[in-house]
Amino acid sequence: MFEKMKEKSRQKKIDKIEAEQCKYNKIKPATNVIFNIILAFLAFLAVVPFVFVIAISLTDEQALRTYGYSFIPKEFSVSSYSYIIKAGSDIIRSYGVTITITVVGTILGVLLIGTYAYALSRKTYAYRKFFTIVITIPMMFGGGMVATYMIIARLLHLTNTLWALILPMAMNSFNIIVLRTFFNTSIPDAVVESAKIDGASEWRLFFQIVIPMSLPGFATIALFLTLGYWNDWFNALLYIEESSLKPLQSLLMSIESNMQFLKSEGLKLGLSVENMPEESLRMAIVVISTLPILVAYPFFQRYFVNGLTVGAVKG
Amino acid sequence: MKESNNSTLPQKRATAWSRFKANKELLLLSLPGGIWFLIFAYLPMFGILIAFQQYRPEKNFLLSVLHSKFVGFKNFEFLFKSGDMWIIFRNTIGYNLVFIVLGIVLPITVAMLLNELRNHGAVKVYQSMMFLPYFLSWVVVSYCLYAFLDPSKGLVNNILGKNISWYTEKDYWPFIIIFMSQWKGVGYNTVVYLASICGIDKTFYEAAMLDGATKWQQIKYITVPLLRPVITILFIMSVGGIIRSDFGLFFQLPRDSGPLYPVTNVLDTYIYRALMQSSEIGMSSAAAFFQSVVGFALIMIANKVAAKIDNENTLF
Amino acid sequence: MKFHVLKKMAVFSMAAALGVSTLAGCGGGDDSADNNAGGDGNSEEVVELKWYLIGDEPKDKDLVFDKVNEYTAEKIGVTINPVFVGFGDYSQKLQVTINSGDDYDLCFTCAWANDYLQNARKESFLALDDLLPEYGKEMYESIDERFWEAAKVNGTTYGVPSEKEIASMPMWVFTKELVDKYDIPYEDIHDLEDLEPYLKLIKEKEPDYVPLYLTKDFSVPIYMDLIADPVGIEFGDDTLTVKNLFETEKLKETVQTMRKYYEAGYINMDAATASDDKSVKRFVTKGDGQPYAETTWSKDLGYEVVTSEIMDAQVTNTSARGALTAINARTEHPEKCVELLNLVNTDEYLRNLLNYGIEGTHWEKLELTDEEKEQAEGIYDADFKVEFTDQRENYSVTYWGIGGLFNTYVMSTDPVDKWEVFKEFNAEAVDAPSWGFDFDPTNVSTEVSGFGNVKSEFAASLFTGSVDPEETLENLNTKLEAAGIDKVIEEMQKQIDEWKETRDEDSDKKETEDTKDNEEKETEKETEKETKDE
Repeated sequence: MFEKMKEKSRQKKIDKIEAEQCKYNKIKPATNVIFNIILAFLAFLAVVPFVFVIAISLTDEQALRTYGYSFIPKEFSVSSYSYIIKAGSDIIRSYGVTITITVVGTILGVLLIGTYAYALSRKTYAYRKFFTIVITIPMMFGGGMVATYMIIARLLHLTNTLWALILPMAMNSFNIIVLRTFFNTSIPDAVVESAKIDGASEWRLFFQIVIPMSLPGFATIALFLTLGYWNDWFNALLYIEESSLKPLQSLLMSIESNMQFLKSEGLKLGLSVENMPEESLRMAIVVISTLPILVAYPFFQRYFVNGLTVGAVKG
Repeated sequence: MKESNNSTLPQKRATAWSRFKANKELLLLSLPGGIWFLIFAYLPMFGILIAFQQYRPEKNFLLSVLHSKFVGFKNFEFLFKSGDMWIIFRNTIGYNLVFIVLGIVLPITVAMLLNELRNHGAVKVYQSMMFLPYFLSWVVVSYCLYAFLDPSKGLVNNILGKNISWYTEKDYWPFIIIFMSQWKGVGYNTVVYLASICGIDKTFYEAAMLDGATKWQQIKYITVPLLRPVITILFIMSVGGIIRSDFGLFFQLPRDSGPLYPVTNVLDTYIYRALMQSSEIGMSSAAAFFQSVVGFALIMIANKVAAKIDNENTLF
Repeated sequence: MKFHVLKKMAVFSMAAALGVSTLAGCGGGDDSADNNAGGDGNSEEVVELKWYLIGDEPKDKDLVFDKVNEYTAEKIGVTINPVFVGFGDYSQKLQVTINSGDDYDLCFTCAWANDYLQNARKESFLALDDLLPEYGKEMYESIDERFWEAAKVNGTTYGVPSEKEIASMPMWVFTKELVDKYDIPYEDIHDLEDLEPYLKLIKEKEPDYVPLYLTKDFSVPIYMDLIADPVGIEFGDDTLTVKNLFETEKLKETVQTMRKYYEAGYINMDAATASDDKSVKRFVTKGDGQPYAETTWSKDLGYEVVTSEIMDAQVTNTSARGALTAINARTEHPEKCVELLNLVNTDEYLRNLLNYGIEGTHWEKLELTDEEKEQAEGIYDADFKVEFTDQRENYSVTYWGIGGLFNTYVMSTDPVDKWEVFKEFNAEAVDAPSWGFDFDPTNVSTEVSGFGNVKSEFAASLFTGSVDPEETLENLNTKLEAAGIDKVIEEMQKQIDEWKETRDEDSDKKETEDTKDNEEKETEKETEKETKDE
């Protein structure tokens, strides 16, 4: 599988070189500049707050209070990071938990969604309509938190297991429909039909033809799933009571929500909130929870950016 | 199905059986997902009953649901009781209409711009950067925004040299809310379109090029028509969410400031504030159920309309 | 066709869920059997109780609770399985746990998190009245009667109260530096109006300081028990007339004064939207606390503050239900639960172990000074205070979330008479006229749910004086009327009248009984005469 992917990307590189020689499908240099300027501006807008967040996370809390926010820390300090490390010595373990559920969940989810969406995309599939309805209804109707809890905790007994974090998020109707639509547009019926005539089973068809042909679609779904798992904290709140199984976001969210609570109610209740680096801590939380996933992002990105405008001369 | 109406029972069975046999491979493929939906989506649905009950917990949830008193639509009343209902629905639906339009136009535009760039390295950088806001929660975004709009220390007032009280002047907020929602979502939404553009069969462009089609013509006659299924589907799905809103956008971003309510109060924030004091789960279930029913009806309508226009590109 | 499928599905899911419930039932049984076996190898009788506690899980939880369990297993055959849930998440987590009928034995509950009243009404919590005399006698006797009264809902006790301050204590918090500099008689300042001359003085003399610093969470002093905010009974109103806060004279005056202060520039301009910023130099602000709160505040702000009480402390249901521990109505070990709570609240060793962790690890004994010893005479039993070690951070819990405070050791930073002062404060606190009355909002839940939106739309700007009070009040009251406030007032008035009648009858009965007792000594004739006269 991986060998194949490697080969594929090598092939893509060759294609890319060829594409670059293929000048006449390119936009004019002047237009290119304008496009670049527009996009650079948009990208800049998107990044500003993030830089800001990093800057604040590295500013001394006292300096923040006196001078307000600024892009360059007035007084550099890593106290918020050390606070997090102190507050959650389990932070490394939490990273481990998060990575585990993200990887396992994404793989499981892609398989489940992929097979389901593929079946739906086949126009000859007799139960297509039924299975479409099956996913349409839950898109709108849900049994609510308590009922879902009851199924997961009391029927399946998943409390305090990682499955409670993985299974409930493995599928959702939105992803299935996006992928189904993707199959519909990117895999010509002719391809499927000729393979069927050659006697290929649906399994082979799916794994050997559909998957390689729709990598951008799969990458999109995988990205959505990964982000979903990475950012999830709510399931952990409900199903995980064992602190060693708490994922990163849940740990950080509880630091944050505790902080917010103590800030507004703490004094009323006689709880001390001294030495809590509020603003910088909040921002450090964002940095800590975001950076690793940013590193993972290019892995997905190459599937829907690399292929762009490439392959004009393919075939 | 209609054909089989006249046929006798054994025949019917036989066709059902042969149909099953012909489809069994695909059925096998959709079965794991189907089971998932049964367990995680359909089993909990009996919880919907709570919306019509005065819920009392018992030994287990199912018994509670069976034994709780039914109160008809009483739990729904609070949704329509407020004197501000008109404003709330106007805000909810109004913003969502804008979001639906922008949510299609902006990401597609950006995806196409990215697609046409000559320098591939830059594409990656821009794309990654635009994705960043997605990672920031609304709480964090609201802090950043406050740094800009803080009436005394904020950057904007400093630059303008004015003393605008941003968090009490409601006139600015429709713009701020729309801008911030797109700012946060555009990178994420672009991905689907970008992937779809990637998935377009390149031979189409090749043929067009050989015919001497300009870039604009290629977009108009190849890219957009081929993106139509995705656009239609995403449109239908977003119509279903027209009376739901992103809670953080309307609650945290304006810092729950009272004077801004006329332009920031939407159904979700209204429900939140209404149920803060009395956490009756019957009422929150009722609110969710109401949103579901409306959403479902709208999806059906949108799907029908889409089917009228183009039978190929529908949800089902 | 579609419908048919749906129906089938519904039937199937119901059936499956039914199967589930039996399964779940079995599972629960198995669990507890496991617990029995695993809890303590030596004795079969040791049961494990799952206890939900508020606050973040301390790092040394296992270390401390191993020790706790060793002790409780030996004493009463119980071990604790504590589950800590952070403040921000507690209500939601417990709502799901309780409503889904999940297994647990004990949980923290109060008026502001995991709503005590609501759960008690739904009988999610166990009624304790029959169990207390047998299994919780010591605890029942040691805790102030008024807390037990507050724990009663419709005459039944559903939780064991943690003894702490019984009333909330709104205070003015002054910066000591300025108080000293201008020799301000802060102890005489109580009403909002009393502040005026000093605000003026600070405004003139100290331009760097905000005279009255307020934030968006600020509430003006409210002289009322807000039973269904903003509907309630004014303090001191023995006629028990239900009113809308925003239509009371007192509030109207208050917000007019606030407006005056705001226009005079005594209040920070951004008060209605600001969140607390400790760097802002202020002369006075409002705080809600408890006795000796100024020590905490001073530490927190980094400079000394002094306080004065705004009003006489009033006991309301909300204030007296500040912290309780309730037992799951469906626990398998109700007696053990009560026994455990009894032990926690009366056993000095256990109570302090739970509170501060292990002596020698998390804290050390600090000998009292001679002066302190003298002061402690008769009011503080231990001859030491708690001095935390550097391990303290590894075991820090919410003290009142576990049990009463008054038999915990005082910390080295606190005076030895701390709990004595608390007790005095509690004794002095006046019962609000509405104390003991629980409103049942079932009939008007729709209307009550409308209040939250209206109040949060106007409260911050109104209370901080940022807007014209007349116009805003009018607006606000119109919206409250639209939400149906009159119906709520009417309903509450009806309920409170009934409550008052039964209360008065009860007390009449008591009185007559008392009189009878006294009169027994007197001659029959005289008694007859008296009754005739009456």
